Formats: sequence, structure tokens, C-alpha cells
Amino acid sequence: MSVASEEPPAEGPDEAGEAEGESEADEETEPAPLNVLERHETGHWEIAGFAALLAIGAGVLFSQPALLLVAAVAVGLAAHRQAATQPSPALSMDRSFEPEEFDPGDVIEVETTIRNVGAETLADCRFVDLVPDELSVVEGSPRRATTLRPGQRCTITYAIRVRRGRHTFDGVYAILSNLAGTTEDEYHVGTATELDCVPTARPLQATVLRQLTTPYAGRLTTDKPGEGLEFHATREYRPGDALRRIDWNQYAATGELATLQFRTERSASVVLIADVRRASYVRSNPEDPHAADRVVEAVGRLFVTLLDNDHRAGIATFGPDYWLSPNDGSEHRNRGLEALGAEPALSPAVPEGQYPVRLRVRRLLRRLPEMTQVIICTPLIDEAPETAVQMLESAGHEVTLVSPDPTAMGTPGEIVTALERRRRIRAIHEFGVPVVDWPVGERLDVVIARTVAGWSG
Amino acid sequence: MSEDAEPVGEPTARPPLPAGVAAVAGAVVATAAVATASIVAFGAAGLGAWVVIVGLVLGRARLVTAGTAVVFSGVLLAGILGAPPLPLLVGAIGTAVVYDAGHYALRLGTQLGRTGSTELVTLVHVGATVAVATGAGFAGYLVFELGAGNQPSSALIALLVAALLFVAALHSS
Repeated sequence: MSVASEEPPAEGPDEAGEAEGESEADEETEPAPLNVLERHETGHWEIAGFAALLAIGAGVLFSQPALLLVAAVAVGLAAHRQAATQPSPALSMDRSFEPEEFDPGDVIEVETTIRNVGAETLADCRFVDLVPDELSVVEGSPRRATTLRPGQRCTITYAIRVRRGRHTFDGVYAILSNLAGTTEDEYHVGTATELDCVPTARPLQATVLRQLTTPYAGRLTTDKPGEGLEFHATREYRPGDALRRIDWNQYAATGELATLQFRTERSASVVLIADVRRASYVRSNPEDPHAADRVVEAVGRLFVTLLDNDHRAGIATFGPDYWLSPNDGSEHRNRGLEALGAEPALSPAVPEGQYPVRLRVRRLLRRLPEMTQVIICTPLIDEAPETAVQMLESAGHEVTLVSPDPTAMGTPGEIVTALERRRRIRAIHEFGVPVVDWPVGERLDVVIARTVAGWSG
Repeated sequence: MSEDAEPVGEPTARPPLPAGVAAVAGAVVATAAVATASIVAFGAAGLGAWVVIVGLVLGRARLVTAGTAVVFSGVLLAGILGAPPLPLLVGAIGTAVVYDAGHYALRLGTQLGRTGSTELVTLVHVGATVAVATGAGFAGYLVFELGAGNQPSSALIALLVAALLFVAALHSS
């Protein structure tokens, strides 16, 4: 990936740059919105007048006329300072991303083009492309200083590593100065560009559902006897039982009528809760994703898995409010995936403010339909999810926890946090609530399969 | 447990290379010009050049100003000790470049950091300073030489003071 900002300033005062500037003069000539932020004097060259007087004084005092030449230079520069006029700019701005299709973690190239659409030459412009805080620049620089004549443009090119969610590039910060550098005007140029990075949620092989189901037929095998596919038990024949459910083998052997019973298959209604409070933005290693990122990944994957298995799935959060009530269908699926990519509440930016879990759960309980299971995805590094589990379970909603493990065993502090988290997992197990502990570097599929195997074994 | 994104718009103490190189070049030119006239002045200007370099590396504007002042005092000293006009002129232009490029480098450093490309804009900015300083200096040199014999200096003093007053008047208006 080539980065133009490492080359000598393109579109400089050479023939090619000028020709390019003129040939495309008809496009993007609309001035972008321009807000003056601040004007300040730099005090540059203020010292020149003093230097001139000093040189004249020394020249006269020591009878050295040659020193007057030094004074002449200083007077010239003092005049240069006075003659400098501050430009009133008109700039247009355009931003593009390459490639346009990407997944979280990909490196994409950002190209921000700024064109001087005014009539004045801008002798000294310094631009800073306003990259969102949560994204990291991996190649090149979003900053650039250049000279722009009327019609000329400059391109700031750099590469960023995108993360999931909606990222807002908020225009360009510009500092314009005159040729002598005596005054600097700060501007905010252009409008925000949004970059949505929707994660492609891959379905999981297994889900982590409990027994609470809706009355509707579905694919979750329950312990209740009735119609279904998997054999459950036999019972004595009662008048009215369907003929095809009579156990003819037993009748042949013993002469008694018995009825086969199967495990009923029902569909479940599940609300996935993403714990994206400030506390979840932790990781033990700067290279790892935040626990909150893994929480959102888990929610996305569980969401599509549940829908693929004909269950009804919804999304809620601990943290900034978001609510998608449980439903099914492809429209619902798209809405959920879009929310995971672009919803501000689920964005990778660390949320400001406190979100008391107790209040959030009370509101959730008003919204939750009856017979709905809850899967909470949380790193479990504070007491709040435990409270939530108690409140939800006592309201009759079966709860499962999927917990990305952000802890490490390096420093004593880390060890304490890790042990506290383990104690918390044990305490939650004692409520009869299953916890899927998901360590860094392991696949969620594998961890879930292992946990489910552990339950049945 | 913190954001690892590259700081955007974060000031860096160290200035970008092109402007820093221009400032050091100005200091070297001034020192060399003064050295042709007087060894004492050479010492002063050389010391100033080192102070400027340290100021640039540490990113301290005050050190750059102080260094420029020392270089300038070297130029004045050379003049007092009877240096011919041309080395003084070159010394003065060099000093102007030290001050201009030095401070410009520090401002670009704080605003853009070291990574952005700044060659063109530095060339334009410092080029303008050199052009103005050279133009004014050689205009003075012309008056100095043409005024041959009869009190050239009083004419030049009058001219310079008049110009300074005019510039000051521009400022107040």
C-alpha cells in the first residue's frame, strides 16, 4: 500500500500538478463548511525592529558603517512582518476509503483531498485529518503541511486499522498562516465522514441454551415428553393416542399396548445482553482486543446462531441503552447485525458516564417477554453481573453467562483480579447458572462445545 | 488497559527535519561568514550555533531564541571589530534564517509532529525570508557603495531610521 504523504508533496508547483488541478477544476469546487476556531499572533519577527536598532546603535557608537547593513537586513524583515496579510481561505474537502469492503482488523487506506477553491494563494497551510480516537494509524501520517495555490489540491494519505462499529472522521483541522508566519488561524474544515465496519458474524456449531422455551415448535430439544424426533420414554396406552405412536414391538412381545413418547422440540426466545460498560474496556495485553470487543463478537455470533436454529433472538446492553426485542426473520437479522456494526451504544468508543446495572435490569425486566431466556456476555470483572443474574433468575428468566476472560497472571494485581473473577464464576455456578469462560486466544466454538460437554457429562 | 492508538495531533518536542536542517544551515553560514573577519566573533557565533542545535533537539523555543541572540552578537562583534560589509551581510542573513527556520521548525513540530511531510512549506517559508533579507541587505549595500566617499553612513542611518519609523507607523495603523 503506497502512502503519498511519504513522497515529496505531490501536486506541488510543477507543471503536472497544475495541469491536474485545472483539468479537474469542475469537480469538488464547492467550498466546504469552514469554522474559525481561533486566531493567534505568533510574535514571529517581533524581534527584528529591536535587532535593527541594536545594529544601528553599535554602528554609530563604534563608527563602523558596515554594521548598518546588518540593520538594513533587520529593517527589511520588520517590513516583511508588517506587510504580511492573513488569507481568507475557501477550501473544499473530500475523503475516500480504499477498499470499500472490509472486516474488523483490516488495514484500509484513507485519502483526504483538500482543494483551494478560493482566489488567494495559501502560502502556509497545515492540515490534520481528524482520525477517530479509537482507530490507530498504522502507516503514513494524517498530518501534512503544504502550500496551495488557487485550484491546487493536496492529498493526505495514510492507512488505518479499522475496528468494528461506527467511526466518525470529523473533517480536517487546518492552521493557515501567512508567508512571514506572524499570525495563525485555526479552522475546522469540512463535514464528518462516517465509516461503518459491520462485523461478519459467523454462526457457531453449538449454542448454550437452557430449558425455558416458548410454546412454539422449534429445534430446541426439551425434557418434556410429547411430539418430536428423539426418543424420551414409553408410557401405558391411553385412549385417544395416535396409532403411529403405539409401540408395536412391545405389543408383539407382551401383548400390552404402550405409547412412545418423544422429547418435544420447541423454539426458544433469547435476549443477548452485551456488557459494554466502561468496566468492560479492559485487556491484559495491548495487542488483544478489549473484553468489550469480544463481548460484542460473542453477541453477534450467538445472535446469528440462534436465528439460524429458528429461535427468536434479541439484543440488549448493560451500558448505553440499546434494545432489540426478540424476533426472527431475515429483516430482523439484518437489523441486529447492522446495530452491532453501527449502533453508538455498541461502538468501540469507551462510553462516558456510569450505568448502574440494577436500574438497567429493572428496565429490562419490563421489556422482556415472558418465557425468555437471557444470555449475558460480560467479562465478569465486577460484582454487577452477579446482581443481574440474581434479579433475572428470580424473575423467572433462565440465565446463561458467556464471559470473555480479560485477566492475566502477570503482576500481583492481575492475579488478584483473576482470582476474584474465578470466585465470582463459582458463586454464579452455585445459583445453577452455567458460565462459559472464554480465555483469550481460544475459539468461542471450542469453548462452548467443551462447556456443553461438561454439563451433560 | 488503555487505548493504544497513535496519538493524533499530539505535540512532539522534536521538530521536523527540513526546517531544523535549514536553521542549522543558517547558523553554519553565519558562523563561517563571521569567521573570515574575526576569531573572537567566530567563537561567539559558533557558541550560538550550538545553543540553537541543543534548543532544536530538546524542542525549547527559548533556547533557540537565546542561541540566535548569541549568533547575532557574534555578527555585531565582527562588525565592531571592523569586518568588511559583505561577510557582515551574509552573517546577518544567516542569523535571520536561524531565527526563522528554528522557530518555524518548533511550531511545525508541535502542530504536526515529525511524521508529516513539510519540505515544500519549509522551502516557501524560509525562501521568502531569505529573499526579503537578501533584497533589503543588497539595497543597503548599493546605497553604501554608491554613497562613495562623502559620508555614506549618515545617509544610510537616516534611511534606515526613516524606514523603521515607517514600519512602526504601519503597525500602529
